[in-house]
Amino acid sequence: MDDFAPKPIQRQRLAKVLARAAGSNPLTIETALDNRTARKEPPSKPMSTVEALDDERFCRTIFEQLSRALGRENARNHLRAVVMEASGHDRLPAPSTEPSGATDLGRSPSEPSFDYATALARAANLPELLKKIARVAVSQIPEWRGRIQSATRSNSTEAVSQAAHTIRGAVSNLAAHSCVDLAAALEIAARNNDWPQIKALTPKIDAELERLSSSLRRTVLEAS
Amino acid sequence: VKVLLAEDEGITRIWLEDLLTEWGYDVVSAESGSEALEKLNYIDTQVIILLDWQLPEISGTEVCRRLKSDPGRSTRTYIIMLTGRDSPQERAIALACGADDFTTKPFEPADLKSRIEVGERSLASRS
Repeated sequence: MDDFAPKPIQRQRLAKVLARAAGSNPLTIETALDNRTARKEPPSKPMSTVEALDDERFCRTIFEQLSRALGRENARNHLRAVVMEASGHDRLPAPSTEPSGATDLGRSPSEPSFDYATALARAANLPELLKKIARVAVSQIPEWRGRIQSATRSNSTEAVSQAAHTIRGAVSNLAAHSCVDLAAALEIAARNNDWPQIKALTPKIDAELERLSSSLRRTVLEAS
Repeated sequence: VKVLLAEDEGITRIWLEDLLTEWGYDVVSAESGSEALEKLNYIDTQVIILLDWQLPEISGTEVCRRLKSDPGRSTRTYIIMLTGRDSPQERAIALACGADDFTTKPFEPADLKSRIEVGERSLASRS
């Protein structure tokens, strides 16, 4: 094979987006599958829930259909429940009660600041490599926090965007999902010249970086 | 096979250096676009280039353009653009600049290894 094109929307990403919606409802994906059959789409082979959720066009279609029947919010709730179930989660995360797009990013302080298993897998399951990367991250985090702060103070969206981009790339290696989300939001806010959003996100990413540093020390560097 | 790694961000660079070495590649690293071009002057064999998009001094896309506009280098380089950017437009830009492949951060080791192996096969078919 010369090339491989991943679908733009993947199950976990979709789960993350849908998981921000609130509530729950007993409707399951079978309803959507029935709708698909009713529309006489090519039957192809039977789809499992997981396969269906990996199919971008299918996900969009079922979301549109459910939205028409139940309203967008309820549709989100139904899909969220299905996605979380298919993703192997036994408990749905609590929805954010804060109104701003910036404030519903990040996770609660009790949640891990990075996913150890994923980070180790990204380090090809080499604990020493993960330790090495964690050591570098811990040493660079004060510099990153300083870059974000000074970029915000200097009112330079270009500097904010570059700092956020660097942080996003670096911490993604450690599967620090909350930090990645915040850095991505900050990068977008900087590109959009959205200073209220930048100012709302700056203390959040600062706190998250500090939390990541402590967590890396405790979980990776000081672990026997 | 020699691999030139052009990446300015420290964690990703260290991570890739170690992985590539673990996989048996001879790795040369650069932290900017100009350093990458400079180091390529001293590599006279086929080379796979892992090239970050956003590099200081000369961007990854500009490095791509310069290498692919030089017929002497073009045939012995295979460029994999590494980036945190992930839109179809950006993929199109990277490929239009001459990148042979494109992958987004964070990388999965097995996926990256496969892409490098594709690069090796592609280079072998050119020689």
